[in-house]
Amino acid sequence: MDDLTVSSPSPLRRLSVPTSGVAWLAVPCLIALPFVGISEYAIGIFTLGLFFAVYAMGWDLLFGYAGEPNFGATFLIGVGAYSAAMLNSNGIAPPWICILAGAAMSVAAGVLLALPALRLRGPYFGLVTLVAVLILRQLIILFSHQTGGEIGIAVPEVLALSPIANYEIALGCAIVSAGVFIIVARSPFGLILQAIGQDPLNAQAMGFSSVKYKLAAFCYSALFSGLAGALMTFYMGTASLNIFVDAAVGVQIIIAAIIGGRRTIIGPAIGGVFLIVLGEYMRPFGRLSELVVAVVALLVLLFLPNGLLGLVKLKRRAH
Amino acid sequence: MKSAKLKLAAVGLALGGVLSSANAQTPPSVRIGVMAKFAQINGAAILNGATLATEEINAAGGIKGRKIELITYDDQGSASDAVLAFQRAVKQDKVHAVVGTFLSEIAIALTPWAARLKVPYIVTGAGADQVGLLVKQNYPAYKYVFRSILPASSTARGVCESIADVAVKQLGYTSAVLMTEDAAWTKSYDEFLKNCLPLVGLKIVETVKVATDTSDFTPIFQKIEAAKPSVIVTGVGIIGNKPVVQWHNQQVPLLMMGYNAQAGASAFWKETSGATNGVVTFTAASEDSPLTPKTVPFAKAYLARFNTTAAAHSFATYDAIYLLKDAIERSGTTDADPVADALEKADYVGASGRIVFQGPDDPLTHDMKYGNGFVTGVNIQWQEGKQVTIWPQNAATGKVVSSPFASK
Amino acid sequence: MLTQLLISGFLISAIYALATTGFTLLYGVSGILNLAHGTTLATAGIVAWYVAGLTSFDPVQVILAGVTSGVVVGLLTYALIVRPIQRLLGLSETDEHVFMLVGTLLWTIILQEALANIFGDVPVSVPQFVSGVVNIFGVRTPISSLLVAAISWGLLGALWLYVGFTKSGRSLLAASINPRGLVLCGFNLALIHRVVWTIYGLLAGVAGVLIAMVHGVSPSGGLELTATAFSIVILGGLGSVTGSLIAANVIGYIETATAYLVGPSLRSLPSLIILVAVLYFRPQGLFGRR
Repeated sequence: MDDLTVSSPSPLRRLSVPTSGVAWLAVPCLIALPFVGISEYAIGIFTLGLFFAVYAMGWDLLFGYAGEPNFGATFLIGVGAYSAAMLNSNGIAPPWICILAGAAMSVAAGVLLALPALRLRGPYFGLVTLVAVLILRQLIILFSHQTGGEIGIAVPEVLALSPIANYEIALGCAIVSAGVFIIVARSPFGLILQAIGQDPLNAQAMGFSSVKYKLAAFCYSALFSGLAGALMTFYMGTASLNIFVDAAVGVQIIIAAIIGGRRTIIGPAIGGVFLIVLGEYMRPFGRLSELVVAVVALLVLLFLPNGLLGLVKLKRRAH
Repeated sequence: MKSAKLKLAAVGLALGGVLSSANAQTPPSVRIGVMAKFAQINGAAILNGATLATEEINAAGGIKGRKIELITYDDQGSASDAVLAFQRAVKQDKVHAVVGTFLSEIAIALTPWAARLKVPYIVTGAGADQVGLLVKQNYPAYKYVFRSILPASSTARGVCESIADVAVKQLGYTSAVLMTEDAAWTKSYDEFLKNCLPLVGLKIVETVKVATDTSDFTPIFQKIEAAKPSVIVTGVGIIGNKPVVQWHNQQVPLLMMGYNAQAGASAFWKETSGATNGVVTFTAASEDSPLTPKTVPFAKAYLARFNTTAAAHSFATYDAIYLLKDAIERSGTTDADPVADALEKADYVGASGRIVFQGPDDPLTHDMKYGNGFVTGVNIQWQEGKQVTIWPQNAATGKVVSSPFASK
Repeated sequence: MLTQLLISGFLISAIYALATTGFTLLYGVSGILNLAHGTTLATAGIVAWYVAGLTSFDPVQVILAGVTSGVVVGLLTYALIVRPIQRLLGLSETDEHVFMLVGTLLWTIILQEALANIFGDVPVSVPQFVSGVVNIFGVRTPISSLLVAAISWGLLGALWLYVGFTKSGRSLLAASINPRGLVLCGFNLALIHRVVWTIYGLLAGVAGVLIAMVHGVSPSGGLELTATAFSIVILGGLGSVTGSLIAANVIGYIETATAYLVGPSLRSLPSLIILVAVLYFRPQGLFGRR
């Protein structure tokens, strides 16, 4: 692989090495967070934020590296969540088996979606993934006897009751996902992926099968999206359409990734947590909170197109 | 000189006020969270009902001298938002109970959280049977969850009983088409009515399931008319006002009876620009029907305070706050377990009827008992801009009229 | 039965066509998928409903109010969202696409919440301009629906005349084919974009009022309208006005036929399946350019 030269020194490398160094330092702090006296309520917010972080990172691997805008993140998440919930609510399997099965189902569904979708480029790929979410919704409503329909399905068992334990589970999921995503992104595989994303013709001329690489990226994304979806189902106690299979949630994930800084993995994770915390911070404003969150997101989009992490990058350059 | 003296007096008074309020040990307030999407009419109805009950109770001296402090949580109509808001209510604001939630999806999502965080939670908007079933299956862990609005199956019973009176006896109808939306809550609703309607003398000639995102009802109404029924029995909520508006535009010559969640609200006339004229729906209570001695005074106070009439959810939430007051007074504490146990034993006459909850062995645990002597609900018909109560007989304020478009 | 199907298919198709044309025109000329489309329609409908309730009901005023708000929202979308995103530096083409979609979606949320805060988040409907029904071959048809179909086709005809036979209309067409060449010929591209967005606002305004009259609209129902317009546009081909007219009729008739022959609850399933098939076998749509 030595002879492979990616045109122009990858901006990713410059950015992610020091940034992710800081991020790894942050890991022990994050693990210790619940023990420094923050309220259980705050822990609850971070728990949800961490699941969201995993979704946003999964999206970033596909968009930031493979160049494919996935508008159907909730298709992958939803398959994971509903598979786990349906297995558990029928008493077929204990939680951990359900979660692994959910992640596996998500990968399978991801392959099923990606094989036809990857024949298309750019906006058409986005459209197919969006339609996939709509179809999954229709199917869940059509088979409401098994799936609970539009009001959702209750999961009888829990992984853990204590907020701290739930937080650590979500954190574990986020750290493992972040680790795998970063390793994948920085490996030769990630560089080829990026080359394909930026200049598919050249990359193919060099003999790299773009479908094969993108399919693999899709599988990584699906695996962790499904895993987080299944874990979150057990945390929430229910799986329902508006939490897990909703185009609007998919868009929120994209917004989180862009706010955090696309093409950085860690940026989207920060964006995911940020969006959840901001929404919760604005809750006392009641009706206006959604409006304010949308305005803030729009401002970041227009004035910080490289996201919050891009801001850090600018500062570092200035020094 | 005079003004200086006055100022001094004012300062003195203010000081005195500060001192006396610091001296008199005000007992801690009872904190109750109310949750819904307040931008929606249903959510506003929930909030208003809670506000009115709180104001009344506080004006009358509170709960054993403790004032109620109402804290609002906007769930934005999303279950994940609701779960966060519920944690905020219990962990951060330390509420003693939560009332509200309109969407069944959210009520089902919050039910396990009420059990995990051990806080009494009274559902006052969502009608899916699954809530009561969840409590029954997970009793006693889920014993903190109650509901002061009728579940879908009780609504079906109310629809059937009222149709027996109004449609069969008064209007002489013999056949019906059942038109319900394709949603989880209509499963038990349909099943019940398919058994019950033929028994009371109304043959079902056709059953039409309608997707909740349907925009064009023309084919549906034409199909229904082709079956030549004497009435359409509806079960709609999520669809919104489309069936009513198009029923009016197309001048379908059949009455729509049954349950229409939107038509129970007083703003429905304005939202449909009057298209709802003639529509009949079952609802918890209406403003002019003396179901209990509390019904009409509540409805009048509500109208005066909020300049709109009370919806079913307003009745349910108003009663829920009083149920909590009653339970806290009987148990003598605001601790979750004694309050939940007291709620279970409640026998309280509220604005919507006599409220007694079903026990762990009844079909829907902690749902209200339905029927004569308990909560029955009412039927209203929209007549020229007004909701007229036409059922039950003891609460009726008018008579049903047949379809505005019926061929003469 | 067949006449019923034909008539109601015709009526619903006319509405679909009108609701979609502005959306597809915008993509054709400036390459923008405006996901705030449905909410723009909803804004026009809700404002019209509000005005109808204020005054003694006057159809002209109601339409004017709706169209004005449609144009205002259209121009605001261009000035606040689209233009700033086009001016961002350092975005690749895919980046810009995604930014545009996300930007217009955020704008949707902002509009939707603003509407919900001002008017409440409830479905509303504009009163019929003409009440009453007529009997066509034994099918009872509301006069107002016929009127809507007539307005709809009339407006589409006017658009066709404008684009085909006027100078400014032809420059729009040229802009969709070769914007750079147009600039070289001395046309002001920014002005053309503003004209397009104004026409878009006009179309969306009328469509919004008519949809509010026939079906009703709500702030949060805007996305559903966008989805309908979206699927029609994909089927017809992105940017092809003719294609989306035909697709509007195809989807209108298929949905109606499914509702009549199979069952109303499965109404939207066949069109979804067709959509997937088209995306799979002919992603540029029936009449799209690649």
